Amino acid sequence: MSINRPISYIAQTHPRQERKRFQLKGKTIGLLAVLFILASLIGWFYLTQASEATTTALRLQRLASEREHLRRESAEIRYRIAELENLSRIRERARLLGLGPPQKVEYLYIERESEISSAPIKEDDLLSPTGDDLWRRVLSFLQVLLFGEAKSEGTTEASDLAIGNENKVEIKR
Amino acid sequence: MTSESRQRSHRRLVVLVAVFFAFSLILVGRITYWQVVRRQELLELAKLEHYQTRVIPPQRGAILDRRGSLLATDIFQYEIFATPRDVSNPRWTAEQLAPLLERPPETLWVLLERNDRSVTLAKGIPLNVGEKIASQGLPGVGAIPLPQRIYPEKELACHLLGFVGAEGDGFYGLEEYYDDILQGEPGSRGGERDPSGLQMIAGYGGYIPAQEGPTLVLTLDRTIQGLVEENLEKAIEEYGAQGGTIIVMDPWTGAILAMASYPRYDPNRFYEASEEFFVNPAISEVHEPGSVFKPVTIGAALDTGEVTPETTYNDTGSILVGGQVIANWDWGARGETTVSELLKYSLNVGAATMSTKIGAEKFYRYVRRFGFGEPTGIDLAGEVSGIVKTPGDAQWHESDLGTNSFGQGISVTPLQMINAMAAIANGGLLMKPYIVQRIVREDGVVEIEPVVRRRVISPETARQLTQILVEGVKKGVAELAYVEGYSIAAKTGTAQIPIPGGYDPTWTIASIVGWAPADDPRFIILVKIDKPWAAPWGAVVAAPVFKSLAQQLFDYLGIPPDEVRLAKE
Repeated sequence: MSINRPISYIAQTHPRQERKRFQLKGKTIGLLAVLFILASLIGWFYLTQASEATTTALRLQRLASEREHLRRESAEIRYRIAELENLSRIRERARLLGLGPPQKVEYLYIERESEISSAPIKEDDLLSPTGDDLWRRVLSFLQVLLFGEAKSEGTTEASDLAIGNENKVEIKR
Repeated sequence: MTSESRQRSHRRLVVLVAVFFAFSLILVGRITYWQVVRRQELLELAKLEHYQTRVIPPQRGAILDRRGSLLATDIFQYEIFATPRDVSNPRWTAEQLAPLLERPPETLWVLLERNDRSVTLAKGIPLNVGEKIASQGLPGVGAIPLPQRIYPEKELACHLLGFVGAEGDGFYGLEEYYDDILQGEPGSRGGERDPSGLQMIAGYGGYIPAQEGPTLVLTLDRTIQGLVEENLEKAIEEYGAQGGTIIVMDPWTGAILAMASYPRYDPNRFYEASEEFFVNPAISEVHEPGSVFKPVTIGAALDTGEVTPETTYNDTGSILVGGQVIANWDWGARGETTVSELLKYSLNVGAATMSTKIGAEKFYRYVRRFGFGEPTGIDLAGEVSGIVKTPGDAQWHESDLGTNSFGQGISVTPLQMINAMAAIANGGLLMKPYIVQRIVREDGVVEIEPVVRRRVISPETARQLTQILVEGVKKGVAELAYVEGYSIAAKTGTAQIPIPGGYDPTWTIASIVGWAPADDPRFIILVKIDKPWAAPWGAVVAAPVFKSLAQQLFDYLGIPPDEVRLAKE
């Protein structure tokens, strides 16, 4: 087989191929936008979290420091109070104020009154009057209204009861 | 390609794959080893590189008296240090620090110029000054707050409290006994650090606060302790004595209300005191008790039923026990004498007669029952047992039965003595003395209950003994202990001090143990005065101290005279 066609060294021009232009279609734009928003959101979320974590850490650090400071200060104050309450200091202050040990302690024995119960008085008993007490108080109130003077019977009795449930041993110095 | 060469090439391929596989296995193995097996160790190492944890020292638990007065606590003092290489201007820094540290700037400057990695500029700096320095942020200067043990009442109850050494460990007394409890738990602050060592805020690694040690609330009453120490010091001075001990106890529970010895020291400055002052003589030093021991002998004789208070014996002025002649303290002979009179006039011959009458076996059984020869079990460090020789011991001699009966040849601690007498006061029960009433922790309170160790004598024997001892105070040798209007049961003692080859010819130990009111005791007191110069007798030296203290306690505790008290009942 022979070749009749002469060999040409000139580059042959190919038929121009038309390049496909990159065209953004609506779908692609949407996808990219979603991706961008998503990335932004993730970034924003990360930065917010990091910032929040740092702020919290700083706050915790400050609170821990404050706690330690208060702990130290509390110990110091406790000691200062103890120093002011020191026995020898109190003695010295008492001496300067002219105080001294009691020369004589006299105990007085007060007879027990038979009608007084030895049972402890409840606070409620004193606060909520019984029927008799109520009448006495109404009478007392009327007395004040009519005669302008109060007979403090109820009050006296209440205080008697409050202190009278035990044999009183009073100290007179 | 022939089938042979194809086969060869296939084999090569198989070998290559196998080699690769083997290498992969080794690699996976190594990775597993580092990542799994040694993971924790390596993580720790990595952490150390950039993560630092600062230990927060805990505060040692406070010690309070029964009314809440502070006896020991921790405060914070600063240690100021510098890293000279980080100090940019040593002279200026020294000038800034000098007025705060109250040191000449030149001294500080020299320290800041040193080539050391770190130098301590000052220790024990008060809180306010330390915080001021810390807030100034001077480059290269740091301030560390460190807990420091403080005793606001200074010498008060020093033997009982003990002290805390420079390393934070407790020594002697409560500080040593409760050291593990008082220590507390250290806390920590950690986090990532940058290359210069500063903490990175973003790498904050947590904070565990230090836990303060539990608070000890004592049975001790600060006011009574103060009165005791005042009386003791006065007595030491008045009688020219070399030392002494006073204990006040609640005989019903064994709770210690006060415990003092002289000489004292300031636990805040323990390093200035001689080491011998640290020992608590009330629990760690023994002495021969002398006649205060007689109630034990008579208690044993009465409790065995061998004698009654009215039983008589013939006091000829001396008695021979195991080849040793025992005489009365006044060398007198009283003839027909009752057991009551024996105790009332503190007669040695009578005591020896009683111990020989009941026999060694019973006598020493009672001595042991009263708690002699064994620690009382008080919650204080350094308690000793005392020395009681009994038949069978190599050193025991038959004559000991006679001498031991009036407190000679037997060694006891002051606490053992008062505790034995408390058993008579409370109706016959030997209590375990204690000093901590309550341990207050963050998660709750532990109340310490009184502990009855055993019954020593019957209530009837205790009542009889008390009655005899009350007579002894009213009309016997302990007259100087009598407080007008009050029934007091007490026994005095004058003990010789053993020295090699016999007894000290000059010095004695004067003592008294007594309680009041005798029928319903609110307190029991032991007074022991060592080597008094003014007079050797317990009845002369110790009894007035007892009286003075008892009078003050009647007033302080609001105990009315018997006339009022018994009328009330």
